[in-house]
Amino acid sequence: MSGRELRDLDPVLHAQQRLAIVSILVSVEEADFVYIRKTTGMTAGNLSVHLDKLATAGYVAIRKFIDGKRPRSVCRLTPAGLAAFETYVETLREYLRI
Amino acid sequence: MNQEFNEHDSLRLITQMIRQAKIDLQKGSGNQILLWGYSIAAIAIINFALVQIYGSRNAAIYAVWALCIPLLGLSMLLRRRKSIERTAVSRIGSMIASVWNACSISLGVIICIFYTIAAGSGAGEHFALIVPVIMAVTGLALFATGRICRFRPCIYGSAVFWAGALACAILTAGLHRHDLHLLVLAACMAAGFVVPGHLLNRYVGQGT
Repeated sequence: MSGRELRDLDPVLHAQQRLAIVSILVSVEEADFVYIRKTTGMTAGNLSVHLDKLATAGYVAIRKFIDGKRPRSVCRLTPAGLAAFETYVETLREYLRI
Repeated sequence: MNQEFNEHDSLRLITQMIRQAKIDLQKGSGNQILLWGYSIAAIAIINFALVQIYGSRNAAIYAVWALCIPLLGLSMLLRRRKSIERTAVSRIGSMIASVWNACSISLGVIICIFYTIAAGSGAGEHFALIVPVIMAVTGLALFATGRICRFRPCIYGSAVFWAGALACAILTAGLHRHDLHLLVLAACMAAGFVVPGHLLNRYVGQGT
């Protein structure tokens, strides 16, 4: 990929871990931390770091609560996150001429 | 995971994650359909047997439908338990839940309308319509479910319910046999709920 096209891709999403997280959240209404960790195969620490980056960018909303006795973090894609993902996929498709 | 990946890897990763999320979220999808299918079919057959024994004018025999109240409680308990165990909510699952919530509310309103009219006018002839109307509304929800999850047996099931509703009208108009509505309902629950429910669970089992 050339430098110009690399610049077109959102740097927040153009990282394997964060793209994996957002791809999961695109296909579900919401998903909890454990589900995302198991599906992506990431470690808990690594996932936390990337979720924080996505939350800081406004792409993911994280809801933390106590479910019975266990703490849970449920994540969902925000409208800004969905728009960013659609733009990312569109840029990829244009580059690959799909 | 490595951050250095090209555009082909990106697309592959997106496809893989979306596919994985889709498969994982469909386990046990047919259980609610099976619960209601078997239970309503059994209640309808019991009600039919009671009509044959005590006659259709005996209002007490219809109290068997009160079993739907604990059934609703059990259904909600199973949904609650599943929602606790479930670590993600699919968009499809959310849409289907909305369809059946709307269907349940519609059926509740329809039943209230029938009883309100009966209480107000004292007449009960319109109760001949209750089973076909309920089946037509259920057929609508089953059709929407089939279309949302692209599962043909649910669509065929909806056709069974609509045909059953018409069959009830014919039985009433031609034979004046309202009691047979209960057998039609039981048959429709078996063909339209039980069969698609088992097929759905088997389909999901094969996909995971």
